Amino acid sequence: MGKIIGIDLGTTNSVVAVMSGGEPIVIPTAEGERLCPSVVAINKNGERIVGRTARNQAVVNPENTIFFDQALHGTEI
Amino acid sequence: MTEKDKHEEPIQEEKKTRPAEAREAIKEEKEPQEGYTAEAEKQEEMVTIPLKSMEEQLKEIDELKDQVATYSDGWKRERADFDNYRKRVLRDQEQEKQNLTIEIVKKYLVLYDDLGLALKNAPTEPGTKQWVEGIALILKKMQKILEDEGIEPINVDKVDFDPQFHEAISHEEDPDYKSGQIIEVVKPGYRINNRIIRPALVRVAK
Repeated sequence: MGKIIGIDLGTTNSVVAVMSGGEPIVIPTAEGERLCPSVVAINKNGERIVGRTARNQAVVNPENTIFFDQALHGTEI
Repeated sequence: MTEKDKHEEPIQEEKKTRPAEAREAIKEEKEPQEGYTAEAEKQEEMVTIPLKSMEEQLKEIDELKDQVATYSDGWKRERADFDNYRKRVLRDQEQEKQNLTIEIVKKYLVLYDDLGLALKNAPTEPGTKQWVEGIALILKKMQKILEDEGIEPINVDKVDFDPQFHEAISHEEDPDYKSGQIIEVVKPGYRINNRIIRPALVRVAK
């Protein structure tokens, strides 16, 4: 049977949880954190980076970093 | 009439008779058999059953088979789920242990940094040397404790800015540095087994 996951796309942070044994279990990020900053970026090598790593480089790479994107959901860019 | 046929009759009759009589009939039939040899038991196995009840029984067998399949499938799934659960609990325990260490260490790292700062700006007046050395020893002790816990500072020496380990707080022109190089570490970062406790806060050259 397929698993059920829930995604909360927050303004500053996002969380993903999976239903396991009738309880939602938060899936930690690769860095081991439960919260994932809602930031996406493309670095100068054209690689996509998300979460904390993307937030860490936001100052250096503001043109290609997207944050506080919740207000943009459902709109055309 | 064969032995087999003889046995067939009383059972068919039993069905028609009332329960009490049927019980008696069974009793009568069983009693003489007690103490018989294996041959008698073999004959008993060969009893025939009316067609209707046979069909019912076959149907029941099919139903039971289906039930067994359903239950054993469910059992296997539960078993696999439980195995996964057990593994996850063990992994989570490890993770939780590390989380706790990080949680506590994070608070003390602030003090550790401050102590380092204090030592950098140590008084130079005569007579304070011993006191400064004492502070240096305390700092060293703390460093040892952190090392024992598996915590190490993030390397910032002659490395380019890497968002995995460093957090940029400014991006500025600097003739002495190439683009992407770290100019200065504002706050040192720490890691534990490749997990970042706190990224190093750095100024990055444009």
